[in-house]
Amino acid sequence: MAKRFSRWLRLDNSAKIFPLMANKNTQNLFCLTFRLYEKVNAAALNEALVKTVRRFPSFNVKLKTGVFWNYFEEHTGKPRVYEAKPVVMRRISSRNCNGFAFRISYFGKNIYGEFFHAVTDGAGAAEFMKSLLFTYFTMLGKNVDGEQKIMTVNSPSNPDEYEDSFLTYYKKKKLSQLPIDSLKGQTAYKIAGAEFENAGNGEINVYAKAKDFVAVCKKYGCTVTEMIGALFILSLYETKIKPRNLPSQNIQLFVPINLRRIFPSVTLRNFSLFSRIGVMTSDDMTVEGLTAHIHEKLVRDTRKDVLEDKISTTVYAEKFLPLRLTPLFIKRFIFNISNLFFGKNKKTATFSSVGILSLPESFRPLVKDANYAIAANDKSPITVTAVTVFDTICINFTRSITDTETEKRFVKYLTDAGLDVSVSSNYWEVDNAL
Amino acid sequence: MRCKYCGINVDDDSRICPLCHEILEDDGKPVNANFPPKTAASAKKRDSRFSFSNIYIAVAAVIFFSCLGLNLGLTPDVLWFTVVFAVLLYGYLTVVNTVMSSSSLWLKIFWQIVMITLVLWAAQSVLNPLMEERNNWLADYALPILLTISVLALGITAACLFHKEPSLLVDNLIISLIGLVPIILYAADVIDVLAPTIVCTVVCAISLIGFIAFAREELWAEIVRRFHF
Repeated sequence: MAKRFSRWLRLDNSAKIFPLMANKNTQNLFCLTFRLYEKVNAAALNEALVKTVRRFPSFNVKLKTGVFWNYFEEHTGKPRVYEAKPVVMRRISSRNCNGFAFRISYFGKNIYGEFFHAVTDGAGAAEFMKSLLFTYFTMLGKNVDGEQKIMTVNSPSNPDEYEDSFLTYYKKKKLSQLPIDSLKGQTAYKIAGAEFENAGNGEINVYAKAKDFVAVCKKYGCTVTEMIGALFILSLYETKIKPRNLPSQNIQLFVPINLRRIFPSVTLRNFSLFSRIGVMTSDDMTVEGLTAHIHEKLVRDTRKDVLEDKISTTVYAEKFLPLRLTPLFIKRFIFNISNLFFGKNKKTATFSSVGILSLPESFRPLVKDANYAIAANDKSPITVTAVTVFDTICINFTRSITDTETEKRFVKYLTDAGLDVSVSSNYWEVDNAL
Repeated sequence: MRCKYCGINVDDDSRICPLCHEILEDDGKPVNANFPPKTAASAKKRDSRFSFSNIYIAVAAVIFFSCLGLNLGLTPDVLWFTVVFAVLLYGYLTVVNTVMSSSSLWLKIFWQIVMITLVLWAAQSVLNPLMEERNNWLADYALPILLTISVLALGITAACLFHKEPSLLVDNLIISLIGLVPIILYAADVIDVLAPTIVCTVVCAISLIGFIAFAREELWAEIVRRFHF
């Protein structure tokens, strides 16, 4: 059982690294966007946000710098909503978000929730945004029912919601028993392409009917995650590797695993680990072969004993006394240096399949769909996320490079499979697109 | 709207396909309902060539080398350009380490004390050869007065605001401990004049004892969170 939240919180195990990694150009951000059927009422949303934040103590915080680690201090101020800016996932700093480590903004019929990963992961952010939507709709006088799927602002906050579940499931082991090698990774293919000269990421959202997509997956005998992963790898190969006549490349996808599915937890803080899906490219890659490979890898990496070992390894690192006693500025220096020399080219892209985002049925006439986006940077020039809301699956591509060939090829696979696909974009690569 | 080349529906009223960039329509009033419109200003990266640092360094270099030339040309016996250098450095570090920095208050005050001491040391080094008798006013007077003012200012601020901003307690604690430096220097025979040092030490002691007596719990809680490992 976690202790009662008393004005400050230690960062959870995986959150500790995010402030160390952040610099002027890179920050681990992700965005959850809800598309509504009606134009957003900014005043009501602002009021709903103020109420919602009080219900979620682990979001009502500001990031502070300690001597050995960063920590969260309870925020005594109020958050506010912002009109969305064209640059998606702009840097979140203590100055530009009133000290909060997240930003809620709106544009037209869309509500955006941008989060610094130190606060929460995708699952935690979804709970927060669902609660915010519920409060917002209630304030607008809409007839909505939480259906036990919403942490409403009137429900009491449970201390388990801000526990560090890594510590809960940590089993003390000797260093020799820990799978340290499995965390090292291999040198991966780095996606080539001209970076945007201007600030910001390009974003493309691909929408399709969920049941049609599932039907296609059934034909291939695979899951939605495996299908999207396979098509993305093929698209990368055909647009980035094959045209350049490159020899066989090691494509490494970073796939976040929501540990709540394996280890029961109600925490709203980070509780996920990564699986690495590696594929050596070749001309005879097929959808069937790739889905089978991804399936095999995911089954192996989501085994309880494997994940327990990974949890133990990451917590062991956190508990390692010399590391704990190293002042924060030295940790940051060491981290940046080691990242500069050893951290590059360990991943090709990030691919996150969130699955079904469960919303109450009463939201159906109000919420069109939703999408997740993960900020892209030079280490992961393309990120892919997929989420299903009601009857729509949304696959988001966020990129730091200008060309859209990979996305185009990916969509071609979908249309060739007979899917009726809609696409939206922020046209970051085009001047005067509108 | 549909792109005949990609076979997709375009989910907003853009003129062009998001994938192949072929034109979908020529006229009308296109609106992207999904993303805020990109503007030239929003997409522009900050031009780092005209950053504060670069401008300051350029201006400072001109001033410094002008002063260096004048100094060596006109009064080579008194190297006052070192004071100019120290002041320019102080100006830069004040903006970068104090105004623009998000670091702790105690760290900002600490750097201010260090930098002002550096400027005064440069001034003392220039002035001392001109005087008949060696003068140690920096250590005897300036440093204790500087520390006394810092501890007083921070102590009063912390006393007024520590309920809202408990981090001030640790900031005050650290600066008060640094304020004990003059008495240590006096014991080491670096400082000759006792009065300013005594005043500084008493102010620091009152600050330390006062906060330990009246805000012990808050201070301890703040130390725990700031130093947790």
